Amino acid sequence: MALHNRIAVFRAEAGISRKDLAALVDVNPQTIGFLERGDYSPSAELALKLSRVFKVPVDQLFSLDPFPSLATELSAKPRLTPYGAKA
Amino acid sequence: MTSKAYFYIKFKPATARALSSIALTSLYGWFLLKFFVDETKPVLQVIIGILALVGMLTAILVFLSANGFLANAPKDRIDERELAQRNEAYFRAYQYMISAVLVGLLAVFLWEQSTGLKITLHQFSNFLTVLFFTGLVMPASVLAYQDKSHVDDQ
Repeated sequence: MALHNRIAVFRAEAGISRKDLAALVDVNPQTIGFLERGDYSPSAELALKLSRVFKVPVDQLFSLDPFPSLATELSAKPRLTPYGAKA
Repeated sequence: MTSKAYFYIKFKPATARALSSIALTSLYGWFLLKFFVDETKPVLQVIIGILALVGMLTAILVFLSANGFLANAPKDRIDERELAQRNEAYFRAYQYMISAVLVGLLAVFLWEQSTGLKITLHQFSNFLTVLFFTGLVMPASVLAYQDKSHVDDQ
């Protein structure tokens, strides 16, 4: 079963390169590329190291089901009107 | 992973695959053509010599490549993905060696049954040589063929 992840999203948000992230979790930079593309499923140890780097629970970073797209998640959230009241 | 420096040649994935193919084809070409060579065929002797030279040189290049390094690197020098890839490559190389020996034994049996001739010690030695060199580069070759890395990974 494929393991889905949001490493690329969290890495972009943190503003760190693959090389920097690889150094933080002690792997080859290529391995970060493999993980982001879904070509490799990490061990529990590596998954926990990655979640610690991004300071999120491991189930926010990895999932057995595909993650909803960012656009879907944003449109599902309640929006604020210009006057501060919920729409 | 440790930071100790190691020497290896970094080829593009396509180049590494091409070198592996050339090494394996040349070595098997050398082995098979040796069955048909004698003093009356100088051209064939030259071709066999070239195949042996090309096969061994490309085998050395494959052995010294990044894939060769990955296939033989100390465990603390590679990460878990590379270790998993290497395990799979060695399993494929093991399957190759077993298959090559089985095919070799079957070929000897059929050869002796059909021609009545016995395989010589020299031919057997050639078979062991080709098994040695192809077995040596097989893990690196498998890694080259299974390489899924992208240009932007570095």
